[in-house]
Amino acid sequence: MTYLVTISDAELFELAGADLRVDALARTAELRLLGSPAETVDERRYRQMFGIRRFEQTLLDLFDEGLLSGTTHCCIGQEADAVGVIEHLRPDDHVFSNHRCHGHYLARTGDARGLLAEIMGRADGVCAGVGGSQHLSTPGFTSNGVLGGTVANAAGIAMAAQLAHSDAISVVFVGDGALGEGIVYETLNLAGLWQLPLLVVCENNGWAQSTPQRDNLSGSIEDRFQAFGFPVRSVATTDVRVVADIAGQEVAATRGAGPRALVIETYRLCHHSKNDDNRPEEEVAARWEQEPLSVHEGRVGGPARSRIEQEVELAIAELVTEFREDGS
Amino acid sequence: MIHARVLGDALRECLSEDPRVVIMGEDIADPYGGAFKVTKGLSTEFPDRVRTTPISEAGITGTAAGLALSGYRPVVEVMFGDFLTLTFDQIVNHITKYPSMSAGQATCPVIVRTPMGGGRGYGPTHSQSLEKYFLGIPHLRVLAASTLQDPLEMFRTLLDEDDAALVIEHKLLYPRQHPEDLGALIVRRPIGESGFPTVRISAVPAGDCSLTIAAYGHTAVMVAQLVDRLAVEEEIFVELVVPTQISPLDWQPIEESVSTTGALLTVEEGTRGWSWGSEVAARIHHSCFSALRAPVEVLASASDIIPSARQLEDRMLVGVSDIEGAIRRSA
Amino acid sequence: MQDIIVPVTDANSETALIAWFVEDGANVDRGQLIATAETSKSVIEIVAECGGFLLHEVPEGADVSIDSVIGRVFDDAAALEDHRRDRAPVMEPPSTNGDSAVRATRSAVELANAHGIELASLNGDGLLTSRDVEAALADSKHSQPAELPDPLVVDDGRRRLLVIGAGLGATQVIDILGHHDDVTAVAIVDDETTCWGDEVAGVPVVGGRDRIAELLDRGVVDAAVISISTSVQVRASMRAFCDQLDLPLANAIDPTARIATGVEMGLGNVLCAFCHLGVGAVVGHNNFLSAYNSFDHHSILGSDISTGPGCMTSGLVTIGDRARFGTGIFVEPKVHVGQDALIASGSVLLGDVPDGHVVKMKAGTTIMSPRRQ
Repeated sequence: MTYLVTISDAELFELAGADLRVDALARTAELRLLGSPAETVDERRYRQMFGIRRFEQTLLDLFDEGLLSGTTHCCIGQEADAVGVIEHLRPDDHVFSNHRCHGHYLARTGDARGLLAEIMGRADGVCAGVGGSQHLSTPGFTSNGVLGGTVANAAGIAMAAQLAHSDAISVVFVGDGALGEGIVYETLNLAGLWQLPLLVVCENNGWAQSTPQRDNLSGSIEDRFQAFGFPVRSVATTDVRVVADIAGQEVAATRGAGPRALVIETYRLCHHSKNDDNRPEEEVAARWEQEPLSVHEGRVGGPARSRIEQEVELAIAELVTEFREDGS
Repeated sequence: MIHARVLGDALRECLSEDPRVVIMGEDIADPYGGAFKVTKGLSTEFPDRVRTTPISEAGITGTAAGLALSGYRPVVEVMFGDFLTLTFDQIVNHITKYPSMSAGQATCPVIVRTPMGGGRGYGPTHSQSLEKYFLGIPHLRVLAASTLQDPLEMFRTLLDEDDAALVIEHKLLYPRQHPEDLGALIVRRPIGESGFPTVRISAVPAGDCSLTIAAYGHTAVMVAQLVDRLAVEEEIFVELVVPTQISPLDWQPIEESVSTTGALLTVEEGTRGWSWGSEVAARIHHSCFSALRAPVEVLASASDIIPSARQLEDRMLVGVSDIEGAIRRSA
Repeated sequence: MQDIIVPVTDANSETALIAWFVEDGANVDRGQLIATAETSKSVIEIVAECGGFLLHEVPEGADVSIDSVIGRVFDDAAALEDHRRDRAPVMEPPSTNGDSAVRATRSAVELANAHGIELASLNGDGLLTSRDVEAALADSKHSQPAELPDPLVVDDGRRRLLVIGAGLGATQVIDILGHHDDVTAVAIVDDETTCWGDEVAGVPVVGGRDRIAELLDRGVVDAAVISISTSVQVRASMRAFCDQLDLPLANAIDPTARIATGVEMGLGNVLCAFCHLGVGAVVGHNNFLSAYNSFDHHSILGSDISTGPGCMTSGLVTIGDRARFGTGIFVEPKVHVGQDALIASGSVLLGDVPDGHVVKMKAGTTIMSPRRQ
């Protein structure tokens, strides 16, 4: 991943000039969400996870206010997967995501402005407001709200890299619920046969919308990949360090080679989309104890943490204020 | 040369001209060369880019979508048009969606080719003409190949553009000589280069015809034979209008013909109701109301499954005698 | 010689569709793919079991039964040709639609045969139809100066009228003349050669306008009535033609027509049944006024006008020369309709129409659908 050079907002505005203020704002939002090389790796991971968390919580607030319409699927509780996997990717790699794509998109691009504009249905959204929350497309990143088919699409992108003799890889995020779709297994077969550089990251959060895994999944997730000859790594963690270590190894092993699967057992702390959570309260409460930010925050010093949190909050607040003013 | 080989040669030409072209499908590699031999020889010449696949229509089409998103030009062969149902989600929710829902940032120009049609006694699940379920899907071109059109011209145009396309072929046309021998019939093709031409065929100048027939693919070839016979035997003069692209449809040639002849018959092999012909009729009733002498007649096959027994199949599918009857009623 | 047989690999199929991969008569190698036979879900490949020269016994696309011989391979080309000569013509000859010199519809052929016309002598790029043959027939009639009939002879003192135009207008004019004791139609002229020699209501068509001078010289006609109503230009030009020859025009007025007091009328007018000319109306020359026309008091009509049935004007209307009225038209008082105006059927004229203008009515829609029995 390439990092933008850190410069102060003031310098940036001066460089950009008044005409480019909007662009400059976008870039500062990126900087403040992605972090910079001057930061420690732990600081940067904290910044990114905190950014995703606050972005999504802000979305939910805006929904409550009636400023957003439609629906949205948040990944609160799963931020470590997005951040831990995507930090190993190069610009020529591709990420395919699903309905729950904000975390993946923000970790990949830092483009909070484009995403918020998109979800708010603005013409300056990443897809001009047509795609909305679930359907994003930008170089190196695509998402689609229909489950399963994205695995095949990601395999095609891996095949393109293979045909071009490139060592770029294609990463696809799927939830455990999507494993009920038949096309997933057609694709695993193809990818295994043709040894496509495809890394399937299965975020196993135990719930398919409102249905617990015990009611919708037979056998084991790992066995499904193994049946098609995929090497599988499996980990139950919300610790971004653990995810990043394993993902780094998996990404490297996929380059110029065949397909692999990484299964991360995690937990979604918010509802599936909005107001549709029937899970036992005590189950959710127990999982809040292990949510990624609190697991990781001890590794970032207090002053650094408050600086990061302030910068992120400010970046998001500025966007919201600006869009709110445009809309009023 | 037979139609199957003309199609195969067109694909070979595309593979040679354009390194982005990748062909995938079940059993398409040599020595078998595809269930109808269209791709015979291609995998030997282009082993990387002509791939036999597992029996996974959805998976292949989805993979093709990924290739297309990455700048390649995948051509998927679906062995029988009946199996197209397995690709429906990819076509409706993925391939045609990515360009539009990304506000043009992505392109996904997948071409799916497949043989439709009965007349071979293959029974209920290997004989259908299912194109009507794909007509009108936003951002999808549906094209009908036949011995009346040049497939190379069609494929080249598709490769020059960024649209997804479904190309339907017909089993009965594969062994037929291409181009179709139209004898002394008057054949009019649009002036200027159009990759998806609408061909107009008649025995006498269009001004002397009393009926327009709109048809495509194998049905159009059947009608073309009738155009000649009915003119010679009975002086029933009709103009046949054969679009290459059946959805979206260029209405102008049909409207122009109908405004001269004053009557329209549509013919298709798919089941009747909610069909290509229904849509054409709806449009022409509206746009050519004052020119029509009588309501548009829509001829299609019975709304039923296709029986395996040949004599039952013949009764169910639109055939020459049905078309002849409809022409006599309308001309 | 080696027979090529469709191999039986598919017990479910009785027939196979043949596609040749090698041309008829070509040299093939042993093992070369020469054809495919499509049976059921699969296509069977047929390879040459020995090298040699290939003869197709069935055409491309033939549906043949399993086990039948579809071709043969010969050691040399001569043996193939010998066989080809000997065998019965198995293959259908290719359609020669485009090749033969003349293509014609069945009824064109029948019509041509009936009239002894050589189809090959007809000009025509595409398919010859009965219309082409009819046109040729007309031409040939024209080119043969056949015996043209003479006018009817009457010597009872009635005026002998020449009817110009042999179309349906002639039947109307002759019908009108039939109601008058002092005139009779003796001949018809028409430039359309196909009708020469025919009769309309017992009156012979004696030729075209070229014959009028001769008839005048011979003193067999006294005056003429122009029966053409469809074209006012032709009416006008025929009147000018008659003027040149000093052939007077006669009025043909149906006895049911009502002509009021003080009407002034020229010559050559045709007034069909139940026409009404109101008090003081002025009518020029050579107008064809169809049935149930009414031009009310003090209206003024020019010359060479033609109207359809049911045209009604109020009083004080003026209509210019060569105006052409359709069917069922109403005109308000004092309206002026210019020369060469064209008024569509069903129009209601509330105001003036300038010279050379067309009046169209916003057509009400007429819906036509098949009757339920």
